[in-house]
Amino acid sequence: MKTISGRPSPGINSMRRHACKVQRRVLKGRCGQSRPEESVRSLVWRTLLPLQKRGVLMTLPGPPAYSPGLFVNRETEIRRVTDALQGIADGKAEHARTIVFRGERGLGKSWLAIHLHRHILREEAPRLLPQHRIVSFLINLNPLFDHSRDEAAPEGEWHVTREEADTIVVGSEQAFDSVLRRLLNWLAEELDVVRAPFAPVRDLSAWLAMDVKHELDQEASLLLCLTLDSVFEVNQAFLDVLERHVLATLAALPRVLIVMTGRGRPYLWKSPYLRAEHEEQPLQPFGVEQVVDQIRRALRDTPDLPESVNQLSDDAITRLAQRVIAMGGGYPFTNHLLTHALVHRALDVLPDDQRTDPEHLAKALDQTPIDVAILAQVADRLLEVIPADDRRSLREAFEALCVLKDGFRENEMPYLLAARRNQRPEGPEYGLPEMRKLRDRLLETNLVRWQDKRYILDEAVRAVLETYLKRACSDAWKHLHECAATLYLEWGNRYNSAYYRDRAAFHTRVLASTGSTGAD
Amino acid sequence: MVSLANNLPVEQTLPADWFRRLGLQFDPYVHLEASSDPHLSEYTVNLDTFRTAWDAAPAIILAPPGGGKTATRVAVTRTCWYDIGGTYPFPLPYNLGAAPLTGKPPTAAQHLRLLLEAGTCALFTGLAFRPERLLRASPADIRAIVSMLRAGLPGPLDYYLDVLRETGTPAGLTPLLERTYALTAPPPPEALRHFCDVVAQTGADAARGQPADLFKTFVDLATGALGFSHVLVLIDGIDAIYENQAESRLALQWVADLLNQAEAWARLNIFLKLFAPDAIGSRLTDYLHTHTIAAHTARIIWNADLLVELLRKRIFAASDGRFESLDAISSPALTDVERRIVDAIALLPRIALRVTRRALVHYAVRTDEEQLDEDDLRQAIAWYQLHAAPRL
Repeated sequence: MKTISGRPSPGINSMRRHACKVQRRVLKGRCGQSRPEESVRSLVWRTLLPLQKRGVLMTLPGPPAYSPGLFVNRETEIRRVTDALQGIADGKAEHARTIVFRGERGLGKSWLAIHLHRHILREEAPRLLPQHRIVSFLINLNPLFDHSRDEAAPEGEWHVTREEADTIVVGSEQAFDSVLRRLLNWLAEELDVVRAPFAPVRDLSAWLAMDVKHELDQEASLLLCLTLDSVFEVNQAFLDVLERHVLATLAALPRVLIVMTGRGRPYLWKSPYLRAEHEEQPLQPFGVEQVVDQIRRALRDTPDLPESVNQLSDDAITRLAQRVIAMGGGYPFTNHLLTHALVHRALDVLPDDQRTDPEHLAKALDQTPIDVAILAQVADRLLEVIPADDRRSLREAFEALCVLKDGFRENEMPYLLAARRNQRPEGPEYGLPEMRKLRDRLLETNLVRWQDKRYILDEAVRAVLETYLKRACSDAWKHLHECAATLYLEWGNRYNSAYYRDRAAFHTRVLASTGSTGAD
Repeated sequence: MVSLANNLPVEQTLPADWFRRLGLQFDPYVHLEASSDPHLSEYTVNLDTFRTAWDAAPAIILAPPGGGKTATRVAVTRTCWYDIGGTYPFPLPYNLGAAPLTGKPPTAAQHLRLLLEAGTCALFTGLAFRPERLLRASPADIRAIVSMLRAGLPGPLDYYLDVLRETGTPAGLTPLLERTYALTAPPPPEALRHFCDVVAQTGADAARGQPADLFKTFVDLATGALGFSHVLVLIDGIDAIYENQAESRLALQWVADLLNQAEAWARLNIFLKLFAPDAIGSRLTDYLHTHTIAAHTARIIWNADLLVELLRKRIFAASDGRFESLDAISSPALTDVERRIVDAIALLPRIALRVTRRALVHYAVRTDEEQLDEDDLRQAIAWYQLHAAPRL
C-alpha cells in the first residue's frame, strides 16, 4: 500500500478522514444491532475494502522473514541449547538430550528454531566445541518455501511443502508415507548413508537408524542436532508416525540433540527420551527492554521510512514499546504489526514538513490513536493459522470468549456465544453436543488449550481480540462482560463457589473501569 | 485390597460412540489388566520407577500386589518396541509363575533354559511386528538368529510361521508366545509374508550348546546383529506362586541364582529387573547387601497426587491431549473430580480406575445431553463403599 512506503497522494488525508467516518458509522450501526446477522469485522471490511484498495487504508505486513540482525532476546533459550550440547559432548548423562520450547502464537518460535540452526548450531557451537564435528538439521513442519516454484531450502534444512502440509492435516498413515519417505531420504542424503528413494518407509527408517548408530559409533566427535519447528501444531496422528520412524530412534542415540518448538495442545510422546528425559521451557513475551530493542532493529531495517524514525529518542521508543505491550501483550509478532501500524499512522497524520522531525514524530506516536481497522487486521493476522473456511465462524467464538481472561469450560460457552450474537442461549445450536463440537474445533486451531483446570485462549490472540472488541464495539464488549459477571455471580451463589464469585467480581471491576474505553 | 478391587461388580460396556461424543477416542478406564491395555505406555505415571526399570543397571522394583508392577513391566516392554529403527533395549519378560510346577525353584541352568525360551518367544513375536529389523541384518546374522529361534521356541518354528501366514498378523502370535507383546503398528501383510518366507527359507538348524553359551549367543545377536542397546531381563510373577506368598524366605530362593548373576550379566549388557511384592522387599535388599550385589531399588508408592495424575493422564491420552480432567465435561458445580474420587477411596490404582469408571457409567445411563455431575460422583463413591469399604 502506498501509505506504507510512499508519500501520501494529494487529498489522501481527507479520504482517510472519510474512511474513519465510514468506519464509525459502521461500528455504530453494529452496536445498534441494525445488522445483527453480520459480524462487526465483516461490516468493517465490506465497507472499507474499496477504500483500502484505493490506497487510503493501511495494510499490515505479513510475518517478517528471519534475519539475524532482527533477532532479539532469547539468550536464556540459546544458553540452554549450548549447555545441553556441551553436556552431550562431555558425555554427561544428566544433561537432557531433548529440549522443548513451547509458546503461544507469535512468540517467535520459528525464528528461534531458525536462529538456533543457522546461527548458533552451525556457526557459534563449532567455535565453542572445536574438537567436535557438529551436524545440524532444521526440520520445519510449517510450510515456508514454495517447492513448486523451485524455492530451495537453505543448507541443512527440510521444509514441509504446502501440499504435504495439507496431506498431513487430513491424511491417514498411508498418506503420511510420502512425507516421511522424503524426510528419511533427505536425512540419509545429508548424512551420506544408505539412500533408497523407493524403499518402504519402514525399511528406510530401520536402515537409517542402524547407519546413524554406526556413524556415531565410528566417529566419537560427531554431534548430531535436530531442530524441529511447529511440532505441536501438526496432526497428532502424523506425530505418532514421525516419532515411530524418526524421532524415537534418534532420541535414543547418545550424541543426538533434539530441539523442538511449537504451540497448542501437548503431545504424549511414547519414547522415554522425548517424554521423560527432556527439558521444557515456555517462551515468554518480551518485556519493555526487549520490545525497545525489537523496535529499534525493525525501524533500522525498514529502508523507506524517513530518517526521523531512527532519530527517535530512547524515551520515545520506550513509550512506543509500552504502548505496544499494553495493546498486544509483548508478543514479538504482534509487536511487529503494531509498531508498523503506529509508526505509519503517526507519519500519516503529520504534515509533510514535520515528518522529518523526530520530536514531532514522537509526539504523534504518543497521541495518535490506532485505527480499529488496524486492530482488526492484527487479529486477522494472528488468526491466519485457522483454515480459511473455518475462520469466520471460529472468530465469532474467539471474540465471545476473549473476555474470559481466566479461561473457560464448556459451561460458559453457550452463554458467551449467545451474548456475542445478542441472543438467548436457547435451542439446539447452544446445546451440549454443539458446544462440544465447537470446543473441538477451537482446540484444533491450537490457539486454545487445556491448562490446569480450564481451556484458555492463546494470550497473544485473546489480548488483541479484546482490545479490538473494546475499541470496535464497546457495547458488545460490555455486554460480554455483563454476561460473564451475571453468570458467575449466579453460579457463585448457587454452588457456593468462591472461584465463581471472584470471577464475577473481576468482570464487575472491568465494567466499572470502562470510562477509559477511548484509550488503547 | 486388590481382591477388594476385583470383587467390585463388573461394569457394563459403554459404546465407543458415547465416548466420542464426549471428546474421548476410547474408554480410558476400562482396562484393569495392564497386558490387555493397548494404550498403557501412553499414560505411564511414576516416571522415576519407569526409568529405574529402563536404565542399563540391575534393579529391584517393589510394590504391593496390584500396585503397578505388571503395568510398569508391560509399559517398558512395549516402549522398547515402539520405534521402527530399533535402538532401544530388548525386553525379555521372564515370568516365574510360568515355570514348570516342580515345587522347587529352578536351578541356574534351568533358569537359563527358561530365559532362552522366554527370550526367543519374545524376540520372534517382536520381529514379526518389526520384520525390517531382521531383514536389514546380513544373511549370516539372519541364519544365526533363525538358528537360535529354532533352539529356543517351545514349538516348531514352522508352526509359528504358519500361524503368521494364516492369521496375516503378528497379533496371532501374542497369545501363543508372549502375552505382553501386544505391540502396535504391525507391518503390512506383504512385509509379514516376506518375513515368513525369509525365515522359512533360511536353512538353519537349531543352535546347539550349553544353556549358558546359547543364552550368551542369544544376547550377542540381540545387541549386535539386531541393534538393541542392551537386554532387560524383566522378572515377574514371584508372588504368583502360592508358597512364596505365604513365606518370603521361599520367594528368595526362586530368584537367588538370578541375583547372583546380576553383576556378571551387567558386564555383558544384560540387566536384571526384578519386579517383586513389597512383602519380600526387605529380604531381597538384605540379600543384595549380604552378597554385595550392586542393584538399584525402587518402590512404587501410591499417594493421592499420583493417583490423581494417573486418572488425568488417561483422560489426556483418550482425548488426544484436548483436556486433562473430567472437569472438562462436568457441570459448573463439579470441580476437581479426580481429587474428590481419590480422597474417598483406598489408594490403589485399580480401585481408582474402577470407581472413576463407575461415575462415567452412571453418567452414561442418564443422557448425553447433560454433563457429569455431583450425583454421578456420589453414586460411584457409594457403590465403592457398599462393595469394597466393608472389606477393608
